[in-house]
Amino acid sequence: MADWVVIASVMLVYLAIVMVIGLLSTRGREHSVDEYVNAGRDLGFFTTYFLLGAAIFSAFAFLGGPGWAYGKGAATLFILGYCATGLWLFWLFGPQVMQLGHRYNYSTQAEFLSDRFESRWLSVLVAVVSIMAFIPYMTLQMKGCGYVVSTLTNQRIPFELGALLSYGVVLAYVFFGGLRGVAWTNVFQGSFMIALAWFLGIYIPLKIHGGFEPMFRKIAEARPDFLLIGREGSMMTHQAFSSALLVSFLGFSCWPHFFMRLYNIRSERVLKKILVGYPLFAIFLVPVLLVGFAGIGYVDLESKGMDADAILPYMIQSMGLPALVIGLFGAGTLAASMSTQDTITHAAATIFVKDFYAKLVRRDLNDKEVMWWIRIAVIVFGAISYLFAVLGGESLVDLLLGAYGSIVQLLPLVLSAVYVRRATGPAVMAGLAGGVTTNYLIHFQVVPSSYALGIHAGLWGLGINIGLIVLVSMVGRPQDPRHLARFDLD
Amino acid sequence: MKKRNLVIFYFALLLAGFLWPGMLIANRVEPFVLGLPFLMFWFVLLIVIQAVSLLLLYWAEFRRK
Repeated sequence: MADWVVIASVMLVYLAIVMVIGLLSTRGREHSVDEYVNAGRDLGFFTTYFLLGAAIFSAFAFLGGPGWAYGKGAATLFILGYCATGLWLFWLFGPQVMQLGHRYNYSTQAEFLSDRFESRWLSVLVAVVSIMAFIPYMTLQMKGCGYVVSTLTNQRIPFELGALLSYGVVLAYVFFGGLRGVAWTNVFQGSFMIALAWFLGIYIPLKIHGGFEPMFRKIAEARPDFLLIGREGSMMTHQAFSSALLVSFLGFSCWPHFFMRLYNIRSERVLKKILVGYPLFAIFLVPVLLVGFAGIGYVDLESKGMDADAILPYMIQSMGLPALVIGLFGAGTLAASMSTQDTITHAAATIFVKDFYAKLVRRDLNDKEVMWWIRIAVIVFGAISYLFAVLGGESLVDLLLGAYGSIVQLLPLVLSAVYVRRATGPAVMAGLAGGVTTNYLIHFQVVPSSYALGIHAGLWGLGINIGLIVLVSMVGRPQDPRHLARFDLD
Repeated sequence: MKKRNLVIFYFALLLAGFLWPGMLIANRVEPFVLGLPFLMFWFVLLIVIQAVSLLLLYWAEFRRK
């Protein structure tokens, strides 16, 4: 049998397994919006842990992460830093948000914020900011799938078909299985890719360089500053590294697909158990980065006209590994991409219907209609992302990086909603709009980057954001204390 | 309430280990630990300390119940 047939078969078998798990997961459950969107608000430790973990193991884990290590050296440590600290803030405001979520049956971030600040338009604004961040995110996952499938089968399966396959499988189990389908497939996909990452991360550096230390010594001899931050020969300055890490730390827990999990978890105890275990996902990522470092000195991708992100697939293919292993690697990359794509598709569709459509266009939707609209939105958002993935769009990476700086703008709103009674609706809307605008203006260099002093655009946005919230709240009228009393905690 | 502030301060300190200027003390290649350059080892070490700290915090909070 030709190698590409074996490789393609392994990936197809993998896709079939995921689909079956996704479809079986909801058997015996009731058909309701609450089940579809929130998995009955009763998810335990195991499923939620992987649900949150698999969402960061995106296509970035197997393609971008090693690419960063290979091309940017120590700058890649930024990924470890934010992954380890990203959910800390949940320890602070998570229990409160959980309690209110259970009390008022929220399913989205915007439902909580717009209820607290008595503003329908806030909900619409938050939905727009979220979806603008989600579309490039989903598109990049599909591109990752298409790229890996086509590269590993030597283009026998074209890019378009590879991306379409992953779209189809994700669509099927999100459409029928809802959040529970996503959760159980993520348990499988998460464990699978962690096992694979450790195998590759230890095997490849040992095979090529005879160990980690000899590998790093070689790199350090050739380019002494490459493994450091902020030196002359480093690939990232101190300002850029620290401010990017800070923005990711602050913004991570505000990504809607993470925040929404607060409404699905069974209890505060389960939440905190997850937070204890979460930094382990950062440790799981270490081997993936090691493979990227192993590529230095092994191949010069630039001279071949290839992108740094291609480092891992390139190495896997060039090392004379058995076709079965190459196929498993392909499946692992699909796992990483799809387990992010599904969570985000589910969140984007829910947000679009509940926070945008039902607030702006049809305010009289009943539960059954909500569920069907969400399912339609799942298909449509998938299709939009697929079109973007196929039609190119090189600037997508840039768009996604910009999105991090705009998502972090939600943090002052969440904190005000929980802790600051004096903060008002118009104030937080002004803050969010100002923060997001500032971020994108600097990110896309409408404001010359020299003005930003090399500091992450999201931090400047945060400054404007907080300033506006304080100022407009001071000028405006406070909210009715009787309304605010609804948000008192037990 | 005082205990809570202390906990926040402690975790802020751990976070500062990743950031300028805290990370400057580890911004070097030598010595290698576990085969990793020192800066990378520093990140891994901090992550392990963070996980253990969170575990202690969890125990402190839920042992009573």
